[in-house]
Amino acid sequence: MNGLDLDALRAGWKHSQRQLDTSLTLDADTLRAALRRRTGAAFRRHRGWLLASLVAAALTFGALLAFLVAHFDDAVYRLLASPLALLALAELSVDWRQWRALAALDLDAPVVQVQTTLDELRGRLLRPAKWVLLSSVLLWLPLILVLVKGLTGTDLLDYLHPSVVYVNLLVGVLFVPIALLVMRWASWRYRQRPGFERFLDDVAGSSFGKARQQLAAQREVRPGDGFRRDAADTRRSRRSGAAGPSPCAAALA
Amino acid sequence: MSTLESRFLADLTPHKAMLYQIANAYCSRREDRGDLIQEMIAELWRAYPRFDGRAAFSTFLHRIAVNVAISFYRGESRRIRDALPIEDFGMDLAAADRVLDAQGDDMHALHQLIARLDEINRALILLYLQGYSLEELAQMLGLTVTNVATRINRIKTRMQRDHAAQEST
Repeated sequence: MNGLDLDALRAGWKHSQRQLDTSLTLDADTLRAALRRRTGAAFRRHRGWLLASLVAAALTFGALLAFLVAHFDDAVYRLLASPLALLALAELSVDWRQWRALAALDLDAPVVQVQTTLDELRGRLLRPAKWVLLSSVLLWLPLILVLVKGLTGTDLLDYLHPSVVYVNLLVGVLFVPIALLVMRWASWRYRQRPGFERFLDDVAGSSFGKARQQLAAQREVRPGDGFRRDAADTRRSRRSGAAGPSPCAAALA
Repeated sequence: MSTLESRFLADLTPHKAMLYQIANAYCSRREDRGDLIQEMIAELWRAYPRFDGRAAFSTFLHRIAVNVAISFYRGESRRIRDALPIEDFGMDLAAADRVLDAQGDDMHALHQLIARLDEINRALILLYLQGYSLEELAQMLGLTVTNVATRINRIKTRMQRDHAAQEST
């Protein structure tokens, strides 16, 4: 080749493409099956994790129920274990509903419809996580007291000054409205931010995020050097406020 | 079978050679090319509901395929977990390689020169060879027309210099 004429080679490139096109075939049925298998595999993995979570919640609830029965005459421990049992029951109920909803999910439905269902499911997963977080300061002491009592029979209340319990109760009660306000602010301030959505995905469970991503229609083409248009489009739509809060951010709020 | 899936496959089929050419520019090993083509198809499928038909499907395909190829090349993309040999999809890469081998010296040299470019310039030149105008390239890449023209000229100069050096040795 004498000299390199890129413009002349454009025609050659196109010609080569036509030749390649005749030599390459694409088996649509196999490809279709592979696409479905990938999506199905992601959901099976998520359901596996969900089953583990369901078993853990059932065991926790069973253990707390057994504790309540064993300490039925002890009003203080009954009071301490009841909210923990309620929380475990709520988790169990959410996991069970998720399990059933995922089992009934029709992956052949239009992608946007499936995506909406998945967003709702993630929102449902986030609600108990939100209440666990809100009650964490209030319930950490009852959790330890019940755990130690249940496992060793030791009554830690005998060793704790009553002020410890009262201060914990006060701080725990005050924490609930403050944390609620912070969550509401965060879901308003960081709505649609990829980092915040990733955080919510992590809270809802990474396997759920992966299954969701498998179906997601919203993948951003990764902005890199010279590939800034998508990022700019996203920023513009954020500035215009076109995008409302995601169902998950709404669940957190 | 969903309508979306059928539409996607109907849109994709005429562009399989483009996927091969992009994969060929970013991977020297045939197995990697097979994996990359599958990854590009999977990402196109994920993004397909976003395709509103305002631009040509080929433009949509190029944007995504090139981005996936760059990620793959940089080792940033997660290798797909359930990859099958690409031949299972009916794509005989060995036959495609033979088509390329049978091409003239100038096309061989072109492939070699493209392989020497960095990944961004490689993308730019691939899109240029597909026949996109400077305006279309600028729109696809989010650059100004002047910037694209400057980059293309620099790439041409560099390729000519490399080619001359190759010829002289």
